[in-house]
Amino acid sequence: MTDTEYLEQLMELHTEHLFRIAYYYTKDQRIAEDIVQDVFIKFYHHQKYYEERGEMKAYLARMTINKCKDYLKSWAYRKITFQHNFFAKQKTVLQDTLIRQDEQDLLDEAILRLPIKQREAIVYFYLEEMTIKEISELLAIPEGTVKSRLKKGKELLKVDLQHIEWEVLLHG
Amino acid sequence: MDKHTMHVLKDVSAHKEAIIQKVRQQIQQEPYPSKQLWPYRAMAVMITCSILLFIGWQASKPIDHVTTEILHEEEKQSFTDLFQTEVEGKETTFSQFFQIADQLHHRENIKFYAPLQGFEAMQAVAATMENAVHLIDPENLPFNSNIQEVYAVTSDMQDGSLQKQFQFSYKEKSLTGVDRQYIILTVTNVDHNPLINYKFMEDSQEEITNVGLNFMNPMYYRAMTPDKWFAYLYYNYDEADKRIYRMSTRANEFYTYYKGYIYHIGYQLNGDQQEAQEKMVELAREFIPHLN
Repeated sequence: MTDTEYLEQLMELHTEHLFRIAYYYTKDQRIAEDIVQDVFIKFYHHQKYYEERGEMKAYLARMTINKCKDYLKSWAYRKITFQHNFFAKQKTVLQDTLIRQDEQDLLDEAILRLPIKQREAIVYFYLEEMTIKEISELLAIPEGTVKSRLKKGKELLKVDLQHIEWEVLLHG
Repeated sequence: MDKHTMHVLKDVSAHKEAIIQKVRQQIQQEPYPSKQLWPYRAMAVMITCSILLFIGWQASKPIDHVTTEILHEEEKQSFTDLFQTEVEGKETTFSQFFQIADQLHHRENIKFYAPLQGFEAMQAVAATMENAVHLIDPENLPFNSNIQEVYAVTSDMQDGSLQKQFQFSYKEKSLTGVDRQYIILTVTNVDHNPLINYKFMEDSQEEITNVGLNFMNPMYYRAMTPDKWFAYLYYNYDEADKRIYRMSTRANEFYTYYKGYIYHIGYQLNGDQQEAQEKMVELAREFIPHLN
């Protein structure tokens, strides 16, 4: 199998998963696309130095997370955030008159509003259905830290979604 | 409990297709860089010829010309002329492998300055460092750098003298602000040689090899390994908050000490990593003026 064929195979298998991960961090579909694209191109150039041990999914996920975190620290992201906040204020009055979103959308927004550490614990555990151990390995943090971030994340969501009975929050 | 999926992520097939298309296009448009060595080789021959011609020209110049140039040298800008804006900053950078030897993670009275942009600014800063660095022309890099910048962080040494840390960054930044490829050269003046008591072991688990600055002085190299700890640290600048922050990532690293300075170099380059390493050894030796 050539390098390109191998890359094609990987993209077929992992693109959707990596795109979701990138979106959880960046909250922007276009940026998430760019980041996943960067990850595959970088992998393509470095692939012969990767020793496959059945951890490809986690390896690509870690690359994506690192890229996302670099992006979140970048000046480009700060600029976009500023523009978003500025224009969001102008739209507030208009949005108040619109029909309320359904609970699922409110839940999505609340998750994306969480601080990054709690957000990643919540999305990996509840949305990606990973185990505590898997999250701990992916983020290179102790299992106890994953649990405490999950707990804190749920508390923050409960406060944010006081008016909604969310099954996950009540029984998770 | 049913699995919850975010509304916008319910069907991502269009995004998947777009990503795959873009990756395919980019790979087709940018052939593998390692296959195109001849431009670098031609460039290396041209540079060597230019250096020889320059040396010959300097040697043949009358003494009064040399005197005039020395007078011009005195007009060089000082550190305080160049770095006038102090900015916020908390964390400093150092090699995580050699921190016990050089103690650069312990600094006092630290001051961070807004970075200067462009190769000319880098040259002006290099000129304040006497002969501590020989800057690499961006044209000679193995990638197209769209960012060239220099950072300065100062602190007090134990004897009360000023410690200056300069970071010369060459980067290819993507439109999303990600540092796709980079070479970052950090130079810090120190009051002792941290490598005097360093015991080098080729077979240690840290996978450090000595590629040698010259026949006397070591230069240590460690290849980037995604599954190992010890991050590579470098400075970045947040223009909005006027703040220097520390990036923590993985990179290939060089580390050495020469004539009062610690040189710590990190890089991430696409393409064949063996060739990239060979090129980087060459560039690192060029950057650090030394006796052969």
